[in-house]
Amino acid sequence: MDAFIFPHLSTEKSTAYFALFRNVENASSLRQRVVKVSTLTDADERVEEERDAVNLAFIDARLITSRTHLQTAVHQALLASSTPNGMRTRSVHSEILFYLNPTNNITESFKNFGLSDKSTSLIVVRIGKPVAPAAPHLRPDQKEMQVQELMKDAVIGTIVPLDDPEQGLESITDWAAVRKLFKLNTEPAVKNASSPEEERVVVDRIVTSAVAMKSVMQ
Amino acid sequence: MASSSRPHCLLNEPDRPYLALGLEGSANKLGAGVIRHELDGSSTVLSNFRHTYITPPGEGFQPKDTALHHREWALKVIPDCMQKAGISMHDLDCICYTKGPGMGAPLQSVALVARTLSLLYGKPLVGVNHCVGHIEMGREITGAKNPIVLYVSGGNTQVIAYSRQCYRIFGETLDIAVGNCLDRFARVINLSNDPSPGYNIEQEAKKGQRLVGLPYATKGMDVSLSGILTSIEALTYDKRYRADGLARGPDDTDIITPADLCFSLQETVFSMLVEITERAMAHVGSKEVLIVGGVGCNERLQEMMGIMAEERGGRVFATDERFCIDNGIMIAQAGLLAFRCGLTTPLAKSTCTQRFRTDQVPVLWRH
Amino acid sequence: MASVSLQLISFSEQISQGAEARIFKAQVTSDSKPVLLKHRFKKKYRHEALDATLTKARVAGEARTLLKCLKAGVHVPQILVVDASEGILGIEWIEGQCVRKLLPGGEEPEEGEVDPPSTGPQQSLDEYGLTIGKLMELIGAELAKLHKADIVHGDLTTSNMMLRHPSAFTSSTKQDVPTELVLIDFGLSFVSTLVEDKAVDLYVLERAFASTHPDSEPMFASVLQAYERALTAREWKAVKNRLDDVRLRGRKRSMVG
Repeated sequence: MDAFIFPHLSTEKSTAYFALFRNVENASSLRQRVVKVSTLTDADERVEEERDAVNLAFIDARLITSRTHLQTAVHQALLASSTPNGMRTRSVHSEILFYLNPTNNITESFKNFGLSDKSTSLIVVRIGKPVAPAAPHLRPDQKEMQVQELMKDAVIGTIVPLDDPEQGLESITDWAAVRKLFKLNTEPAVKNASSPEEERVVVDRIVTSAVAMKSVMQ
Repeated sequence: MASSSRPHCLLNEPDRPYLALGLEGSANKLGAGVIRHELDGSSTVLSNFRHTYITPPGEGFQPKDTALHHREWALKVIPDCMQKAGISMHDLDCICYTKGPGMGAPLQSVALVARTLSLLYGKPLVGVNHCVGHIEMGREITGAKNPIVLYVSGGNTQVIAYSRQCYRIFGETLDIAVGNCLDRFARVINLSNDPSPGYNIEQEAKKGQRLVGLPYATKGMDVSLSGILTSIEALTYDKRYRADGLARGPDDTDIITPADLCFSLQETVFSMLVEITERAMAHVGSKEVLIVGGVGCNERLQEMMGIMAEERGGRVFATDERFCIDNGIMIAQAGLLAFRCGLTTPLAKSTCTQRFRTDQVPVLWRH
Repeated sequence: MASVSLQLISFSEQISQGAEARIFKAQVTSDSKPVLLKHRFKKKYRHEALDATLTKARVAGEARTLLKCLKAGVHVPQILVVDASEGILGIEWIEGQCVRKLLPGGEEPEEGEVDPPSTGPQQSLDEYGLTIGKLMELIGAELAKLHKADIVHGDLTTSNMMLRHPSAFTSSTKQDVPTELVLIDFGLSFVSTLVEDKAVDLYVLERAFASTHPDSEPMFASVLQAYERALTAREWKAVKNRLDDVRLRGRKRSMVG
């Protein structure tokens, strides 16, 4: 499966597995499951397994403009999680959503970029150790399989390669929604774009930069 | 100025020893000094006398009173200087005086003395740029060959580099001079002007513990200091400020003392100065830095500059108060260099000027 | 433990060192495009708390300016990594050449340049499908966009402008040239609406042209023509008049001694 490998990060954070799911069928029930897990207490039965099963970032793929865009959000979230008191949210997965969002409002970042009942295209990201703590000696390809199984257990849909020209991100990104969310329609760079293709390049460069500099945004 | 006819170095090996008297009075110090340029190219300071006009705490020096001070003390300082040097006025090659920049009235009173001596003894006059005086004396004393110069005093804040017969100003203050900033703050907190407000700020700063936030304003190779002064003055009205420096009880821990403010002021302002100096060094590829001017005596500034220079694989040159603070000998040194290149000031042109930029002087004595 | 972004630097190749920062060519993931890391390293002469605050503010300031430029349509590198507390700014690595090296007289290493980076075989303007005149037009147009957005670069030189190499320029737009002029190094930039600041910005570039490239007058005149075309008559007149003033007095305002 696809992954970002960051060699400069510590072992448990250096790999961010991700998959693009199309035709997602269980968005609503998945969302309810995630909400329920967040209310569990340590005393509940099978709490560890249940938490681990949804310990993923679910990102609305329509608002992701490129592989670099996604990678930048994941990397900045990882930087934050590696700094004492660096995170603004409770987990590195929710931190990714926070970095993607144009404002500093955490609830809003879930609303804009997270899982909703209507989601049909999701990018699912998993950072961290292999699922089964009892199996520390897994080979990388075995870990990968395990993460993929975990994602498939959570999301009912079709996994497609992110860069696939027909089925991949290119066919999913909702550019109008991105421009609206980032308030780019009145910016000269967007207004003066000479073609829709150029406009997309420009918008992608802006939103990726916005993600990268989120921590120093005014 | 890139034409092929640009001037070249006119300074020749001395055919005999040369002697000059320098008179300085651009601010509140009256100085007189005698220098001798030896046959082997070295220089000897024969004498260097100074008297400072000191005002009560909380007061600055006014031009009129300062001019009066200079006129009175000239009659003592100059003869003392000649006597110590062990020479007569007749032995001199030239009489050098500060043409500017500085305060009008004090400059004029010293120029008048210089003119009088020139006529009495039939000696040529050399009008000297005060800033160039500092630079040349600094180079002479420290042996720095081609340093970036940080010139910091009550009236000037400049980063200077020599290039093609000119001391080019790379960076400078956009508003007030650093010495002026320190002196005015010393007045706000009622520090003594004896021996100088800057010295007393430096001593206070050593007791400071707390770094308070002040505006940090570098713009390229320039700095702006007036905002810092406004901001630090405002802090003396802060409810945490304790003018006596004492806590009001065991729970009174969140306080700002005058020492804290002196400390913060120095740390902030000196950081800015070191930063623009470093930028100039990187720009011209120089590894040496020379600090001149009254604020240049400050040991914390010297220390910071030293750390910076060392990290760049270079070193800092500084002088002590005898040569950092305005003095007559530096005027004699720069004047005698000019004299040996054939530059003198005819009586009719022996004026002074409050504005006289460092880069206006043709530096014919350097390659 | 060293911070993560310092770890990234330790895996990277140092390209150059200036007074403020070291420049590295880095790779965030093993298969992504290279990133230019600008590391504003600790200044030991400065009080630690002051140094930390300043470094952070400067990384933030530079990043904000870049984003503002991107939105204004000024060609600048996109931002990819920010770790302000460590003084690190990571931007897109531009494949191409700086304008200085493509103009006559610009081949010599710059004053203070430690190791002239190995650029391989000498590149020429032909390779970029440009004439000197066309290049000057690109510069003027870019500066006009910058100033219309009230951004002042603060350190305009031909070293701080790059051309994207045609082989690395993949924009699908209707461009008449196979390249793009990119402005870089916004370390001294600031936001200003003042005509004075914009005029000084242009003057600094004019001086840089004069000191680096022989017979630069017609070149800079073409830059100004293109700049003028992108401004309204009123805007241009204000800048032009002020530029003439600045030329007379120099970059510095005349001041009391």
